[in-house]
Amino acid sequence: MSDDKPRSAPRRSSSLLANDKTLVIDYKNPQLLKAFLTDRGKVVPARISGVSARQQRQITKAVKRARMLALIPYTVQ
Amino acid sequence: MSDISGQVLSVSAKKGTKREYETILILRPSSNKTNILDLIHKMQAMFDKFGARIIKIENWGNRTLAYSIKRSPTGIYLYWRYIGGSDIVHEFERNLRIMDSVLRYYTVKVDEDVDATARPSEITEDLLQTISEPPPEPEPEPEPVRDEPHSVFSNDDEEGLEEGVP
Repeated sequence: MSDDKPRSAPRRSSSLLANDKTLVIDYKNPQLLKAFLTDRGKVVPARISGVSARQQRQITKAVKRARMLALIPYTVQ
Repeated sequence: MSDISGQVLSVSAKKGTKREYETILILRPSSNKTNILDLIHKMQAMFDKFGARIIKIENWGNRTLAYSIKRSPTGIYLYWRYIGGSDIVHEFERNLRIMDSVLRYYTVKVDEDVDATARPSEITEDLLQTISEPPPEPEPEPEPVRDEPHSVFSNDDEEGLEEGVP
């Protein structure tokens, strides 16, 4: 029965970056933002990266700004 | 009553405070020192006219763009930080749109209700000379290693992790 299927183990990992409450997300720092992107240039979901909701909002905003300035790519082929 | 013709006063301007903005320009890599100096001098005159003040300008050098803009794979990044009203952003961006050497620009409001006198300008003529000359290192792009996962999401066995890490 599919209802009784155990849920897959949580993929959330506590990373150094995610635990750092003082982490300043800046769109001018592509090196930092790349830590929150996949190989294809997508934003990593907060449930996987383990960042707080507030940090995730800052990250997505910064990523969109950095993409506009060609600091990080929109897509990676 | 405001008697300055042609100047739009924002709410913060009426309060006597200004806003702090930052703008990043991407110039064509073919822009040379005189081009950049010309641009800065032209803009400085425009800033003076609007009662705004440039706090600093940084040259990040000729960098590889993540994707090519207007068929240019690289671009010279200029970072401007200034204090003024919303009218200066409008006029600044209008000027940038006209210039052929500007590939892209992006403005962000950093702060509002800034006391304009509290922030001194760091711009001097000597500094402009060094700004207009791009720094030699073009920021080497670290090649991502595919087979070795060095992502932050896999550093569970990080050493030296102690309690009380800020």
